[in-house]
Amino acid sequence: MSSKLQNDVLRGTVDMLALKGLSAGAMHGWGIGQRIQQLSQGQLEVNQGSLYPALQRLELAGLIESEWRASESNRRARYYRLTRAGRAALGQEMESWRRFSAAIQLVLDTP
Amino acid sequence: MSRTKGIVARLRAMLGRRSAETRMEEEFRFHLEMETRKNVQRGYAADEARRRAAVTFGGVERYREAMRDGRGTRSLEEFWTDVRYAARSLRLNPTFSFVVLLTLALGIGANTAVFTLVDALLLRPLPVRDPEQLVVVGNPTRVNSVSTGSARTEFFSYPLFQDIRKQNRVLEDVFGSGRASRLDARITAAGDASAGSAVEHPVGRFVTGNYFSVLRVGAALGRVFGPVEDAVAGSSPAVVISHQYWQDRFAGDPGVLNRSITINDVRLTVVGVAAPGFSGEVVGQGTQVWLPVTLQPVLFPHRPWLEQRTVNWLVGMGRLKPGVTVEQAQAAIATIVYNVLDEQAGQAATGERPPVPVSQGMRGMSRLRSVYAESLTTLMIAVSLVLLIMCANVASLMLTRASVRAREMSVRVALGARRLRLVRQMLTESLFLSILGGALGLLVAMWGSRGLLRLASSGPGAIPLDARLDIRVLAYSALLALLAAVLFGLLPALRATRTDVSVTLRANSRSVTGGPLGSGRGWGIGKTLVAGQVALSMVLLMGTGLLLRTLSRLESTDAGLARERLLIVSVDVGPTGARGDQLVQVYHDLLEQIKRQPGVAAATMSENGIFSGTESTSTFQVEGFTATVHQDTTAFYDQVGPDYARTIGARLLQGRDIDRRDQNNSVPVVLINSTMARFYFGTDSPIGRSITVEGVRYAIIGVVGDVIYHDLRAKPVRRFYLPLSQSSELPQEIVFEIATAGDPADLAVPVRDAIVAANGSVSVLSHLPLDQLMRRSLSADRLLARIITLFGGVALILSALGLYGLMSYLTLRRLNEFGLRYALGAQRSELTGMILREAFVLIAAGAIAGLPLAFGGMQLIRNRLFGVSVLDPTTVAASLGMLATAVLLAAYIPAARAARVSPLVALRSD
Repeated sequence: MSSKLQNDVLRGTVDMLALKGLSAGAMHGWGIGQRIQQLSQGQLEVNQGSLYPALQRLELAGLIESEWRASESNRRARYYRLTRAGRAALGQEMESWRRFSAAIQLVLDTP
Repeated sequence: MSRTKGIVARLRAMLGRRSAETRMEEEFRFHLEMETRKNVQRGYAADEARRRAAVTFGGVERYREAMRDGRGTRSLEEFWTDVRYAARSLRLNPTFSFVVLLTLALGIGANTAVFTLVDALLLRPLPVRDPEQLVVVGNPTRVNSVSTGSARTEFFSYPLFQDIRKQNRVLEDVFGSGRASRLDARITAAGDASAGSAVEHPVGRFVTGNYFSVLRVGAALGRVFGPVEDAVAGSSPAVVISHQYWQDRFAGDPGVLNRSITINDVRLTVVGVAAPGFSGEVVGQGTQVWLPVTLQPVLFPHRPWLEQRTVNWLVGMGRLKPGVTVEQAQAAIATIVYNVLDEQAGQAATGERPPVPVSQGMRGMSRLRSVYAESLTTLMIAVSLVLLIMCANVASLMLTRASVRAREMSVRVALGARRLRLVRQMLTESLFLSILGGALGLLVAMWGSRGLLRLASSGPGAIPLDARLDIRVLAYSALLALLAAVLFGLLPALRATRTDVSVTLRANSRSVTGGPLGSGRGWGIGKTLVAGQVALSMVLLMGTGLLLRTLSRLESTDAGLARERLLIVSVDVGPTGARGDQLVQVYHDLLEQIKRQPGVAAATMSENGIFSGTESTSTFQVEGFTATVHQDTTAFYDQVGPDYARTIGARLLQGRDIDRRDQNNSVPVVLINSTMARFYFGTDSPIGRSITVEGVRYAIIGVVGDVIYHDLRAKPVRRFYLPLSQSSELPQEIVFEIATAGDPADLAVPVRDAIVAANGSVSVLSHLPLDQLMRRSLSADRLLARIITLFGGVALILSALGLYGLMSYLTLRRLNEFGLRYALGAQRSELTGMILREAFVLIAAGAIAGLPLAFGGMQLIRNRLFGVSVLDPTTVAASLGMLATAVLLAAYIPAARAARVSPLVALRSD
């Protein structure tokens, strides 16, 4: 039961994190994972594999787009990039997350 | 291999059309490589680095699934993946694939073969336009019948048919057709008018002029018949030939038009070739030549049937007017027939009238249909049982294989694959197998249905039934393949994927508690399958036994005559041109000639013969007997020569035989059979009483025992015999019954030669021992018995194979148990005995379940049985015995092998 809840919460957040990971520029899947980990200073222990279904979802929704090109190590890799719609969606997501976490914070802080 | 793969991958990449699946794999691979590299930089060893990368990535399979879900096209993609996977695993297990495909090909092939015949004979509509509007007027099985005497209502005389045609208001039109027995045709090469070409006997049929217009069949060449053919008898000597005959006999030469064919010494002209694919309204006869019905008296001057109201020989076929139902048509046509008959008789008939059948005619008419329909239905059921046994067998094989793959399944489940996905993959494999098997089965069917037709034919040539693979047959076998795949695939798929991950992954092969087929002592699914096969085989073996016994009973049944000592020779005396008293003289000269042959004990003659297929019926009056229904005044009869009863070996019960004293100028006499004597005279002696036939009084001079004439299953019927010497209607074809001292087959040729030597202008139509004629009448029974025996054999082999496979598997799983037992002091024979006992329990369970099933099944063939009861103890015992022997033999091999194993090997066997 608890893992199920976690999964549901995770799904939404992974989408948002993936968008955030792309806000600094085009990147391949592994790189996005690395960025998120760096940004969270190792606090977020997400299964890296779960990024890929999320990226697929976002691409189908038109929030990101992808192309295959040579990576920094000269290997073929799939690079993702935010679309204009994606950038807007990230803004909204961040805004609503802030409000949501502030509300949770409020509840938890109340003695 | 890998090089081609590389090229293909590069090609695809170049075209930018790589599948989503490949892209996904590449992306994942890239990710893991990057992660591994990072771990190596951090100082991990290569292996550890890779392991850590996999752990941080998470369950690969789960994410693959999630992505496939997300794409939405996943089922199609997966289907192809599964098909490729199935093909690969088939290649990797050639023995398994071979056994499964062979079994499937045989099972589906046998079913399709039988269905091909069912389709050709029972289901396929005539190849004409709007066949559903057609109705048969008359009995569709009496297509080749001729009956003289009184007017019939299930097939008609030409005058009666004309009355129906003229007065009909319910059909757009109706044609009549009747048999044209034995056409002697001479076809000379084009431009060569000289005679001397060989005599041929094309299959012909007399038809009315509207035949082709009612059927809506056109000409491929020239013209078909029209009203001109009906106008005046013999005015237009025209024939139409079938497209098939045109191809076979004339090599499709368009010059066939206006060529002349001489049939029975009459010169006829080919006016047309019928549309391709059409071979007449009589299914299974393959008409080659159509003749205008008005030519009948011209071609058969000795038997002019056309104007005779007393000769019934035509069956009608018509097209319903729009809005008229078959029932309405039947009522209307029956009224016409009854009115005409009343008019002819000069009074209205009282009591119940014989029916005038009118039925759906979409599928044409057939004599074969009545002979084989029931057999084919039985065969269909039998062959379905074979299919079920086959499915059970393949299911066991799949289960065995699934148990080998249990670990693979567990790993995939552990990696996050959903169960539905695995079930679907296994079902795809099953489907792949069964479609391949079905395709092979079609080949088996093509060969098999021809073989079945040949088995069914009594003569040298096959029945001309068009047993081709049409769309219905293809659909049927595809459906079978699909059904089979579900039947044999679903259960193993469900079982194999119902793995408890931790148990299977941890368990070693030493565990003796249940694999998917069940443990040694438990009652697993595998044992149920084998027991089921035994039960179904029991049904088939019982059927085989009963039908074989029926056949032997029929072949040895007492027909009331000297079956082993009679030679039947049928002769056409028409060409001699003799009439009246001359004709009687010709008969008697021939008879004397035959009697003079060494080895001939006695000889007589008759119009219809014995087991010849022709019969006569007549209406008569019996003094002191008042009939309540019409049928009570009819009986079968024959016109016979002197010493008839004695010569054929019938028992003379009272009075005397017909003999030389009965002449044209003496008192008309009649011999009656005991059924007729009992029916009209009860226990009184009929000697000295009389019957009146067509105004002539015949004195009863004797009573003869019942003789079976045409159908060995038939109950004796009322029958009487008139002396040929007193007959006013002498036949042109005469049958000699010749009693021989030795084997009648030895005399067949000498007697024929003697007849030809005595009178060069007669032709001998057939000369066969009676026993052979009687056997020929059983061809449908023989066909059924032979094919069911074949199926029974297949069932037996499949069941034995099934048990062999299961026991091999079970003993293999228990080798360590046996080793332990052996080490603890058990004898090898005890071990063998133990396994055989288990096998025996399995057979017993199957047989117990099978017996009631078999008895139920036997009710279906009850009508076909003769002289044996459904519960025939010999058959039950024999079936059980055969099953037990075959199956125990199959179990013995693995049992013996298991007992031979060294205890050390056994204990080490994981």
